[in-house]
Order: sequence, then structure tokens, then C-alpha cells
Amino acid sequence: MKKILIIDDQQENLTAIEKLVHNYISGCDVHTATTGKEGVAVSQLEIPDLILININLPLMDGFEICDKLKAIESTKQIPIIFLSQNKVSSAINIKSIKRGVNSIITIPIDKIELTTQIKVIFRLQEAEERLRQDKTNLEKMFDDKANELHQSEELYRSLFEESFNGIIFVTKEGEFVVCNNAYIKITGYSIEELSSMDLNQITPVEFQEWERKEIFEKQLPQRGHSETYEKEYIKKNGAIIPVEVTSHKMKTDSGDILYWSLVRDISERRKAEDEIKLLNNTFEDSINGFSIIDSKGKFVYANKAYLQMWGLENLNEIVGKSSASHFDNPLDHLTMITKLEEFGQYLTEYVAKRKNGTNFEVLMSSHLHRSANNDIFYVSTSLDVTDHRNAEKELRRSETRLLSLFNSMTDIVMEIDYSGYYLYIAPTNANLLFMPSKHLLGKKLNDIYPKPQADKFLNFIKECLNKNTTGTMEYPLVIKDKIVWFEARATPRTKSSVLFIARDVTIRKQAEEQIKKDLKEKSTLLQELYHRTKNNMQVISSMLKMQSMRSEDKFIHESFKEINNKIIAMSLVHQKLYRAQDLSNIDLKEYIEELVDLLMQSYDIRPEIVSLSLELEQVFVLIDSAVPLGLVLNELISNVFKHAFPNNNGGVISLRLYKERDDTIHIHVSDNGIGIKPDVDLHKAKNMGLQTMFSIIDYQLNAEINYESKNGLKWHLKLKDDLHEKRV
Amino acid sequence: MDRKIKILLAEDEVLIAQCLKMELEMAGYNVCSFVAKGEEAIITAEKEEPDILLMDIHLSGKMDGIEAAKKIIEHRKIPVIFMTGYNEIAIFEKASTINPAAYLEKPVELFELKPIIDSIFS
Repeated sequence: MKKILIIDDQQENLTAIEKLVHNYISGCDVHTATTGKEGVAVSQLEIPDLILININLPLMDGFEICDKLKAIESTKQIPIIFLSQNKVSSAINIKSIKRGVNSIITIPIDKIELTTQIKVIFRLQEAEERLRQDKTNLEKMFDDKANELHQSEELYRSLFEESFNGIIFVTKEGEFVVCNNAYIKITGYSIEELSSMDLNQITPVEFQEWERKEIFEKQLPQRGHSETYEKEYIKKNGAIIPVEVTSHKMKTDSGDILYWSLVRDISERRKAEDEIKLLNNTFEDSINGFSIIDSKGKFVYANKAYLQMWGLENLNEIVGKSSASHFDNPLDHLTMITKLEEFGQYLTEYVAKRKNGTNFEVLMSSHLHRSANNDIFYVSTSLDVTDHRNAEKELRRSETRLLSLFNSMTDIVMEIDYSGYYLYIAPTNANLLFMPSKHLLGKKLNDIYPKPQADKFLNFIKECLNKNTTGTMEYPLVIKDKIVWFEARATPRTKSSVLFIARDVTIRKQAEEQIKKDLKEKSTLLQELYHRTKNNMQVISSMLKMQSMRSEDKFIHESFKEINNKIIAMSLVHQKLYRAQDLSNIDLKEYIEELVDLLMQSYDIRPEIVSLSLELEQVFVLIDSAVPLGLVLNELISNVFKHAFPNNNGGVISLRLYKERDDTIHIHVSDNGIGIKPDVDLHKAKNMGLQTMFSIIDYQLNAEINYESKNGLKWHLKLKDDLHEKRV
Repeated sequence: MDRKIKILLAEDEVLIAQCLKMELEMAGYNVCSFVAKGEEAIITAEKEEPDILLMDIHLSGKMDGIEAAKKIIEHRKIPVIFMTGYNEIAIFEKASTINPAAYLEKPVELFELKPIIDSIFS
């Protein structure tokens, strides 16, 4: 509904125009105002579509009203038609037009002019309205479209920027245009750096030629995109990484050709690939036999070791064939498949059959494996344990042998460690274990024996281990109330334990004791014997002495003295034997020393008159020789004391004793006395003493004697003490 | 000493004892008696009161010469000369405990005894 406002103070004008509008303009309301002030107020209130203003209004004329309306925001666009009472001058026309007034109509109003103008203004307004509407619609459409574009641009931008793959745009010549963050990360260069680089700067030389020819010059131009290919990039830090590239051709709006590529750093993948290759090789080169069969038991794969174990040359010999023929007993094969199906894993030992029909023992571990597309495979590791089993059998055999050996022994065989722990007690038939084996095993020596005994054993064991030698010891134990003597040997078996073998030696020990006792007895008896002999000799001597003392006869006294000296000489031998506790030999040096002393006393020789010179080595003689030799020496030395220095003349008696290398004993008895007359041969002398002496030397001793009478008498006796066997 | 030195001789071998007695008496000593047993030696020593004991260590009977000598000198402190036919350290040590004047090994000769006795009583 259109609205018209008329501002006129003339009522007839208002009415006339109102009528006109009602009659000729449909859908239009009329508002009136009689003053400019009112008119402005109503305009603000109603916002009419058209205002008719009488120019000639008093108080506020049309121009003022118009200015006022044009100054108000809500009314300044409202078209205004002036109504003028008078003819309108061109000046007023110009003035009105300048004010934005649409037209001026003179009063009386020509109805056709007014209605036409009003209609025109309304039509214009409608057209303007439509245009405004269209503009709004277009603007909205434009905004929507712009939004859409913005959204997809966002999408592409995020795709571009956030892609894990590197995306790079290059020119046909390979110059970098733009790239995403991922690409920057891959190459290590910054955007600024890349923007002045080209592809060749990050491509290793060996790829450049091929990439250029195959991808840029062939595939991309021809197909618009390339195959996915692998190459390498040289990162900024110089590292070389493997990458996978897919390239596309695209035309920009300006018709330029750009190539863009998806670049993937495949270092990780490469690593994984290498690991798989390594794994494959590991299996292939493993010393264990490795095989894969399918759910029907047919071979899929076997490694070198497996083929070798079964005497096969080539995988092709068995692929697709049943693994049953590899089992000596087909039942074993069946069992394997059944168990694997049921439990998914299986460990067994079985007799395998080689290609050439020979058998061997295999230890096999298998398990079920499901492939990516749900196929079932059985994967097995096989070990040839034939030697192992043979070694076991041999071991068992030797163990049996050992056990029967032990069974036949009565010795105690044990292994004890350095702390005294009983590590092992062999099952010998020893009935003399201190305690039954089961009570000893796991215990220590200190748990079984009192400390002193345990320590003795321990020290013995420790010494063997320290010196790493076999040691022996003897010890007594009380077993079943009897004393049992053991002889034990300990041999180091390991660095920390010994093998301890003990044997009952009670009988031997008793025998030994007996022998020792007997020997001691014998020795004691022998000593007693010598003592008795000595004693008896003294008895004889006493008897003779008493007899001699009864007589006044000098000859008797002399005779007695001589006999007594001989007895002394003999008795001295026994005395020496007894004293030295040597039952066979006497020390001739000691003997001579004492004999000389005794004879000097016997003949009452004063040392100031006759001095002694003794050069005696330590020489031993058997008793069989000692007694006769004693008598000889007695004769020689006595003669010196009796005859060499008469009339209290002084002199020296010298005695020498030594042994030559050939075991000949030499004795020299010399004096520097009066000697003997040159024509006297002592060998022929009638003197009984001398005669006896010569006889003893010739017949009883294996000896020779010579004398020299020069500056006194010098006797030289040579004796070999080998006539008799050492008897005791 | 004015009077003769009185010796008590203990020796179980009679012939040796007789001979020694003869020798000693010829040398001017008085051998009051000789005994063969230790117990006898003690009794005789009490009775005779000798000046010196000449003791064989090995005597017949249970007591040996050393024990007898010990008992005798507890009563009367007199010098003791031991004689022995046995060469054993143990016996020598036992004998030493009563500090004998001499310890002689048999056969004992007069020419050994005389200087010892004389030096004791000089």
C-alpha cells in the first residue's frame, strides 16, 4: 500500500488531490498536513512514498520543508513534488531541482499531469525496489559462492599443508614453486632456500638422468602422471635418504605447465625391508632346520639346514610334496598333524628318514601360524640330535659300568668340597661308612665329626686342593664300637672339590704295629744282650782282678793287667754299640779315642810325659770286625805305652785313621820312641800278643799290616770291612 | 780324713761287688758292706752311717738305686756316686735330680773312682 503525504494549508487543494488519488490511483493512502512542521512530523512518522508540498506555505515554505526533509535520514529519500500557485520560473525550477525535488506542478492541478507523475514515481520506486531486491539477492548469492570457495580453499590448503606426504610443485624445468611443511621436513631446507633451488640440487647424480628422461620427458607429458618410483634426496645436512615419488602434470589458469609430486620418505620402510631381508637370511642360513608346511602337510618352504639334514639338494624337490616321507614311522607324522591341529604347538623327538633312506634322530618344535588371509601353516624348527642321543646312550652305558664297578668295591668313594660338604657318595659296597650315605649327603664334615677330627680332614683336603696334588692320610675312627684304621687318598677333581677314597687298613695297621713292636722288642733285646755281654765281661774282669789281687807275684799282676785291657777293649765295643743304639756298626774314631784314654789310665801314663796326636776321621766298621780290630789296636797301643818310652822318657804317640775312596780303612799307630833293633823281624817274634795280633789280622780280618822302625816304630794297618754281611 | 772313708756299696752283680770291695779296700777305703737291693741299702745306711754311697742304679728288687739314694740322703746328707750300665737320658735326668757327686758308666775302674772320692774328701 502506497502512501502519499500532502502538505498544503489550502483545504480545497488537499481535498482535490485526495479525490484525484482515490479515483485514479489504486492502492494508495493519503495523509495530509497543513503546516510544514506538521508535515515533517508526519513524514517521520508515516514515511510516505511521496510527498506533495505547496511551495507557498506561510511560516515554512516548500524549500525549507524540503531542506528539512532532506536533512532527516529517514525522509531524505522520499520523492517530493512541489505544488505551486503561480507559474514556475526557471530559477525556481533550478532551485527545486538542486534540492532534489522531482517536479513542480502548478495549481490548478492538471489531473492527468499529477496522476501520471505520481504513477511514474511509483513505478520508478517499484522498479528501484525490485532492483534493490535483485541486488540483495545477487549479493547473497555472491557471498554464498564466495564462502563455498573459501571452504574448499581451506580444505585444499589443509590438505596441502597438513599432508604427511611431501607435496612439491615445480616448473617443467624443475624449479621449485611451492611446497608443504612435510616436504620441508623431508629435505631439511627452508621455504626461502628451496624457492631459489631446483630439483637437481637435491637429487643425487645417479638419479638425475633417469628421472629427467623417464619421468619428466616421457611419462608426465604422455600420461599426465607418473608411476610411483623410488629415488634419493640429498638433505640439507648432507644425509641421503630414500624417497618414493608420484608425480602429476597440471595446467595453471594461465596455461603454464606445473608438475606436482607426492614425496614420501621411505627410510623407515627401507629399514623394515632390510630387517625382513635379514630375518629371511637368518632363517635361510640358520644352522637349525627350519620348515613350513601347509595345513595338508605339504612343504611350502625349507631352509638350507633342513635340506642338508634330509640329504636334499634343492627346495624344489619337496615343495608341494607331503612331509610324511620324512618320518621313518608314518604314525609320527600323523600324530604331529593331529596335535598341531588340536593344540597349535607340538614338541617331539622322532626318527627321521633321509632321501637316501638312512635314519637319524630329530628334535622338532612346531607351531601353528595363521596368514593374513587366514590360511593355516605349520612352522617347525628341527635339530639333528642323533649324536646327542648316541652320546647319551654311551654315557648311560659307562654309567652302568661305573655302577657295577662301584658295586664290586668295598672302598669308600666320595666327593667332598673345600668347605667339607659331602657332594657325592659312590654306591660302593662299603660297610664302613661312618654314617649311612643319606645322612651324609648335603652335610658338612663339621656336622658329622667332632671339630678336631673334622678340621684334620678339612686341612688335608684344603692342602690337596692348594697344591693340586694327590695326598694320603691315615686316620682311625670308631665304628660300631671298634677302632677302624683308614688309609685315604684325596685327588682334586675340580678346583673346589676332591675325590676322597678311603680303605680299611686296620689289619695292615695292626700288622704294622705288631712288626714295630717286634722290632722294638728285638732291638731292646739286642741292647739287653750287649748290656749283658758288657756286664758279663766286667764280671770276668772282676774275677780275674780279685784273683790277681790275692797274689803278690808281679808277673801275675802284669798278666792280669794285660788280660784286663783286652777285656776292656772288647767290652768297649759292646759299650759303643749299646750306647749308639746302632746294632751293627761302631764309630771307630770314638772307639780309638776312648781306648787310648782307658789304656793311658791303665798304664798310668802321664800326659806330660807321653802326648797324644790324634788324626781321626769318622769311619764306621761292622761289629764282627770291631772286636778283633779292638784287640789289634789294644796290642799296638799297649806296646807303645809299655816299650816305646822307657826310663820315663817322653814322646809322642800318634794315631791316624782315614778311609780311602776304594773303602779301604787305614790306621797308623806311630811313636817316636826307641823303636826296635834293625835285625829283629817282629813277624817272627815269639811274643804271644804279637803273634795273636798277626793271626787276627791274617785270618780274622781282611787286612794287612806293616811296620817301619825309623825314629820310633810306625805301624800301618790296611783293612777292608767287607768280610761280613751286615746282620742286623 | 783321719779314719778310713766308709763306703756303702750297692751292686746287684755279686762278683763285681766283691771285686770292687777288694779294690777299694786295697786302696785304703773302708767298704762297710755291699747290698743288692735298694730297700737293703736304706736299712744298712741307717745302721752303718757310711760317708759316701756308691750306688748301682739297676738293683734287684722293686726300688732302683736313685730312689734308695734319695731316701738315704733325706736322712743323712752324704755324697752319692752313681754307677750305671744303662745309657739312657731319662735315667741320667732322674739321677741328676738328687745332685750326685758323680755319674759313672760301668765298667767302673778304680782309677776312675779314686780321684773322685779323694777330691770329695780332700
